[in-house]
Amino acid sequence: MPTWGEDWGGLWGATTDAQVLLPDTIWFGDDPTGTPANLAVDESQVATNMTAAATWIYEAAPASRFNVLTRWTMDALVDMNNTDTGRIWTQGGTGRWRISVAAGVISATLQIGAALVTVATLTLPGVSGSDERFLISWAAEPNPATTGASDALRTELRAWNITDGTYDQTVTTHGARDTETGAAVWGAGSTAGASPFTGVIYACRFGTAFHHSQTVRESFLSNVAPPALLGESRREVIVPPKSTGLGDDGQLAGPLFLRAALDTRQRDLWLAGPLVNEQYWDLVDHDGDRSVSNLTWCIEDPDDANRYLYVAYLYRRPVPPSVNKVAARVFFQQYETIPGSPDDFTITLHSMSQPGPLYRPPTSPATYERHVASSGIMNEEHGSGATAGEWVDIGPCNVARDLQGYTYLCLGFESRNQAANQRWRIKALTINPVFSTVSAGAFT
Amino acid sequence: MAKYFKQSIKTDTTVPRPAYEPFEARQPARKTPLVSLFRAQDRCVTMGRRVLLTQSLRGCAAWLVPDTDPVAGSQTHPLNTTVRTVARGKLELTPGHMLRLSVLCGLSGQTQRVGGAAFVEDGAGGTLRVTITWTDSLGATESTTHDVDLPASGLEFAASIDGSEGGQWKALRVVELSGIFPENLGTNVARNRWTLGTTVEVAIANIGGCRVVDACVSEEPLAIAYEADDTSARWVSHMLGNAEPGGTPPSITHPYQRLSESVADGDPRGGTWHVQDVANNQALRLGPTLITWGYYDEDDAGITTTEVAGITTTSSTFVGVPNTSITTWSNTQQGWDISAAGYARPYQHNHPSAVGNDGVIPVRFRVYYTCGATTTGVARIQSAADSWVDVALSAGTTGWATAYGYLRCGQGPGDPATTMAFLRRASGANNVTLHYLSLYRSGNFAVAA
Repeated sequence: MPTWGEDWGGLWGATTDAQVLLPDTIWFGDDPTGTPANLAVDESQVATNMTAAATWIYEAAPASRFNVLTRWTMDALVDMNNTDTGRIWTQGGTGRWRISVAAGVISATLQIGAALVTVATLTLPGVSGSDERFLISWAAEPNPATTGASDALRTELRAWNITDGTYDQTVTTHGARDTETGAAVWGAGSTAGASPFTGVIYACRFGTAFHHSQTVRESFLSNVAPPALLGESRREVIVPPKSTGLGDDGQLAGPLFLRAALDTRQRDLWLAGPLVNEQYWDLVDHDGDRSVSNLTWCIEDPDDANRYLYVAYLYRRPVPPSVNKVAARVFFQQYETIPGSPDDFTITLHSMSQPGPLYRPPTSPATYERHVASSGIMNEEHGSGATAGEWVDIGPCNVARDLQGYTYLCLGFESRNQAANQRWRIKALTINPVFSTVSAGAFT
Repeated sequence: MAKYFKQSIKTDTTVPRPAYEPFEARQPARKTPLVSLFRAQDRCVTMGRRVLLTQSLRGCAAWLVPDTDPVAGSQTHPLNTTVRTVARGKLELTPGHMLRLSVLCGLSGQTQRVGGAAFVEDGAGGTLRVTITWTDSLGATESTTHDVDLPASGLEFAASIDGSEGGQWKALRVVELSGIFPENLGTNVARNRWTLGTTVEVAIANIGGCRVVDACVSEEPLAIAYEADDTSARWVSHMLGNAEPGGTPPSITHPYQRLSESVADGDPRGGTWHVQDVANNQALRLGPTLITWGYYDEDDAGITTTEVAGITTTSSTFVGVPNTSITTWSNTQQGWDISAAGYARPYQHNHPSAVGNDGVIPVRFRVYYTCGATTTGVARIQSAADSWVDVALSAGTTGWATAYGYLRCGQGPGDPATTMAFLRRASGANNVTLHYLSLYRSGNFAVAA
């Protein structure tokens, strides 16, 4: 079971209405004490309150807004333990659409072709005899690999244990649900309170779009800080699809074209993936004096005699035309054969227009263009264990292209004392494409 | 009668950033910015240089083919007829793109052949073979094989180098093969067939004394063609410029829904409807490749091995691929990085309010695996503690399995998205083996299994 590394303790303090109320949200109620009278207030754009009962809330039939058939995400923030039972969500008089719980297991059930089908079950991660706080999410969407009516939809049923920081999910496929406009209930199986949920619901949301786990987590649990990107970023600008009618005769064309223009400006990097994305498993022990990592595989950097490039980390890769820099992430492991103080050591990323200074292919320009970016000085004693090591980021580095639009990428190493007892291994290497309009103001 | 719109997309190197200000409120309607927008929509598909499959040294320190004299009577060098598959991948092509091969290699070594009852020396040389099964949008397939001969060593015993420091760098050579097609693309019918949606299953094999530093099968833009009545869900390019994206456009005199309202053989271009379709199809169908991995290991592979071994387990709990000592995801452990996928974040799953400082993409996760006769397994790709995609592995199978799902990717390079693969046995008593995996951005639409 994976353990989530971030602090989930900031719940509610970190969450804003904007994070929770998405364009597809047609129901959202919350209350920090779980009091039904407050939970029944609809904070979504629909703003149609439910009716509060003893420990549950409901919308009497016809609850047509919840009659979505192919895409939905419903989320509930609850306190419960492994003895709690009942229905967290129900629609329809016989519970034809429901999330129920018993013995620490949640079940997602649909009415499909006049039959009740439990499409997914999930044991709550870390559930125990004591109350813990869980975020439960059921999202469904059309199954792109469908082979017929029986697997027309795919469901993701997820649960975060906010108390102990664990998470689990299950993914299944199933048929489409039957139309249902019966009463909708949070916290019980009917408007009269059959099968009441014995835990406490603090928040519940219903959306008409499929949301992946990250959207749900970001809505309720997290407050991720803005990342420090190495270059520009891109994201689709939504252009309303034809089915909206906004592009039909009689509509203003300007807003649509405005959004399309903004969207197209995002497409120049749309196809740019990693140039190199490798994990290594038969690891070479590089050493300071290059007696282990064969001298014939190494070449001195023309600009720095103490630095050498290693041919087994040499790549020739096509560079997307819209990319002007590259940046590396390297997972390395440094240690000494005689335990002591590890030597100062750097890793460099090289982009070249030909494969080093000794051979110039016909596809290379007449001038040997090369750029290099270096890591900081590292002197870590990771030990020689199989899982030891750490990530280091290198770059961005300018790109040198050959005549075919390829670049030669390589790692270089420099060990201060070039001693035989110094060891390092490269375990993973990713070289990412970057488009940066920022100049460092110097040759790199 | 079929009516085609086609463009050569070989030479474009930019996606113009169309001005949006002319479409803002209180601006007069003008033709020029509209045509610029349509032309810009032509160019997204000209940017594909995606890496599909590679064979690399991956940090090794010795060649498979030794520098020594073949030992008469025993096999010490590869046969020049044995096809040793070293990499496999399966994924969808960007419409309008075909394939090219780049091989950065050392000088090929000595081979052997069976002479009578013994192995005898058979000269220096190596061939790199790319085999491809192309599947079109209707499920029909074509198979092609492409061989490139690699330069041979002229040194004694066809050694890789003369033994000097940096010797491997002197011996480097580059070999290329461009224009890898499934069939003759000289007709509109053929170009249209491979524009509408193509899945390729690619394999790289070494024959003889190959010494490959980095072989890379990647996309190259060629030509894109749509027929007027192709379903609107397929168009990922506006196709406004005739013959090429910068070509002569049709006359646009006022905002249209589409240029021609004809039901059959009309002209869907030039209006609001097509702008909507193309923008949404680009977001759905286009995106980068992220990981192509295989277990090939140059200095430990056998000279008679015809298929890569892979990571094998009988564990009922997950073990890492390729580092089996890792059993759970952690962003402080080794892995791949898929942060570049942040360049292709669809709005639907990256609403700025909910995911304003993060990113997620839809993916296809394909694995090439082997399960024992009564044994099933699960392979997982994971990029956050609460973001993974599982694919089920069937009993008694060697082949590909595919799953669709979503992964956290961050917002771009600088926002790391450490990604790990895991493997476990789900039932039975035999081994589960993962040989290769492919991961790429792919929206919610049907692809070849």
